[in-house]
Amino acid sequence: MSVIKVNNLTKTFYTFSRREGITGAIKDLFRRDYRELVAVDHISFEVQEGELLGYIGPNGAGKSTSIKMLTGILKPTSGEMEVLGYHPFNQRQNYTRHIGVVFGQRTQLWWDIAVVESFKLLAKIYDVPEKEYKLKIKELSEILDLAPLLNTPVRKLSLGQRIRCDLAASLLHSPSILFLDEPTIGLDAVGKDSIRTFLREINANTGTTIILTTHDLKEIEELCKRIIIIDHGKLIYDGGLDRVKNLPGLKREISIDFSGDISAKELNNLFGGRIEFKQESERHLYASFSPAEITAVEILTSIVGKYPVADVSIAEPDIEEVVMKIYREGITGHAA
Amino acid sequence: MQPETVHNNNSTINILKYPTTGVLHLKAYTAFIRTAFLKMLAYRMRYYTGIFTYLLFVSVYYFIWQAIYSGRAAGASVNGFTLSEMVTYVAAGWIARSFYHSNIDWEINELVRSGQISNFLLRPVNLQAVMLSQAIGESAFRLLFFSIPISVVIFSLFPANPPANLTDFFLFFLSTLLGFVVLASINFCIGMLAFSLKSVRGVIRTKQSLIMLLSGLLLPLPFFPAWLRIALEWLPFKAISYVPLQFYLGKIAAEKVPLTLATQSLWAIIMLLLGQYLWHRAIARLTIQGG
Repeated sequence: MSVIKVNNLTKTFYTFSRREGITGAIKDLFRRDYRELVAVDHISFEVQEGELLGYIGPNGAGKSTSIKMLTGILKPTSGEMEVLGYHPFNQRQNYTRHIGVVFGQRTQLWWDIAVVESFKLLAKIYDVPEKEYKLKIKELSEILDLAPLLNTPVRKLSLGQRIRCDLAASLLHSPSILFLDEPTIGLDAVGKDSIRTFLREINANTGTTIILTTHDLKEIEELCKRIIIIDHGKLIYDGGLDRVKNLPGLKREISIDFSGDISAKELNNLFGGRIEFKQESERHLYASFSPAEITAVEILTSIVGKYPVADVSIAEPDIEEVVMKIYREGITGHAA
Repeated sequence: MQPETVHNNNSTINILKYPTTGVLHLKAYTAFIRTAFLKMLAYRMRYYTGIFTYLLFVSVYYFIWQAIYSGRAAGASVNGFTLSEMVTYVAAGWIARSFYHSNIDWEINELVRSGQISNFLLRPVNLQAVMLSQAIGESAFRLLFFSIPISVVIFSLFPANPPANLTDFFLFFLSTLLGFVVLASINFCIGMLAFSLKSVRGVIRTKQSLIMLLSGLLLPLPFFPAWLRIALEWLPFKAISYVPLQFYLGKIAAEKVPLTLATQSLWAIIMLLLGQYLWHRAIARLTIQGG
């Protein structure tokens, strides 16, 4: 059952560029130099109930604008959309009862009052029955470890604590869809990990549909099976994650520390040029390779036997690189 | 476990679970009133200094009116007001203001500037109703912890009179409540300017002084030049201060009471509707800052 249907959704912003200097400012008074900016450009897709969809793209690609339209904050310039049977903008007040939203950059809670007061207020806003509210708070407090935070005002929380409270707040009314805009931005590894685990559980246990925007390809990998990539407002990929990760020509990098001196030249010869080694220092190298040609395991097994390896870490290609690659070479594989 | 395979019966869409009617959810707005009251309570120390500010205003106008009336026979009236009525007008006017004052315009400006306005757009609530509820919560706080102490101080220091009878007091109170709604809805409209202007700081400051003057708080309507007085008769501002104070002084004849209250209510409704209209216009053009 599809819960989100978007067809040719478009948002155009009109901005005006200020001219320089005093004469420019005076000219601006009479005639403004308007520019059209198409932030979201004829995007179409559907989301099925229970999906965990990654909505990704570089900065300024139109991710947030899309999310704002889907959550009913922003009026689309043109195109159709239907979420849970509602038009998000036109039927905003009824529609928002059924969705939860978390912006990593901005809290949805009331700044000056204790977290639990925010929760109580939200329960009233969403008309959550007392009994159900108590049950929900208990359940969420346990998973997200909220008990020590409930009586603290939001302004005194750390970023990680705040995000946990925001997540709990967005789920109090048992929404059918959860929209998350960069939910783990600025968190440390442990923080990120606990949020991801939580999202996986929510999605699996309650069947809540989750739409997630992020910069972090690792996050996408851990959570989503399907991704939508947008760039310059256009949808450039909609399909499985595996195809993107194994794009031919997409380089991955391994950083290797040795316990003795090593030369890149020697290793380049060993693999016959299939891998490019870059010397960082006497004992530290970067190997960059294409996963379609050789796997990380193959590389490491060949090296570990012959050289004294001290430490290894594998870096995933970042999202900008993936997007650039798809954009340049245009393998727009719209999975039906 | 694979998320896609989980399609148990618990995961039916929650649409059926909650009512989807567009009626005002009173419970939600009562919660906003309560929260605003609690918030004010947390910052109550700030208000004790406010008592002195109000005392200062009343003193200044008391001495000005005394100077204006000096040299006239005791009990003489200027534009229909005796000195004693004038002093009462000033005292009751400022006490009422300590209750009906609201900062809705300022709050909306802050919400738009910080982008927090999206918090309200993401909820199943109407912003105007939320703002009004918060103002009610704040004014309830003011009534208890601000207006009452101010009244005690002012009435013990100045020769101001209480209303002649209980009916006058009741009508004054009712009329002040309507004045509160008129001012709150004007403030909401001013706040809507924040969406198109980058900052409404200057506008708000100008509005505050204008309201003090045009509402009749500083000067009763008969003291204005004829053309302005006639204009003010047809504008909403007098509903904020002048009309309630006329009730206080018992200057509205019994047969005119229903019409006067009805006119105030009509202004409240007109300004609320104007606010709704401006709000719908504003969100259609809204671009949220940041994020």
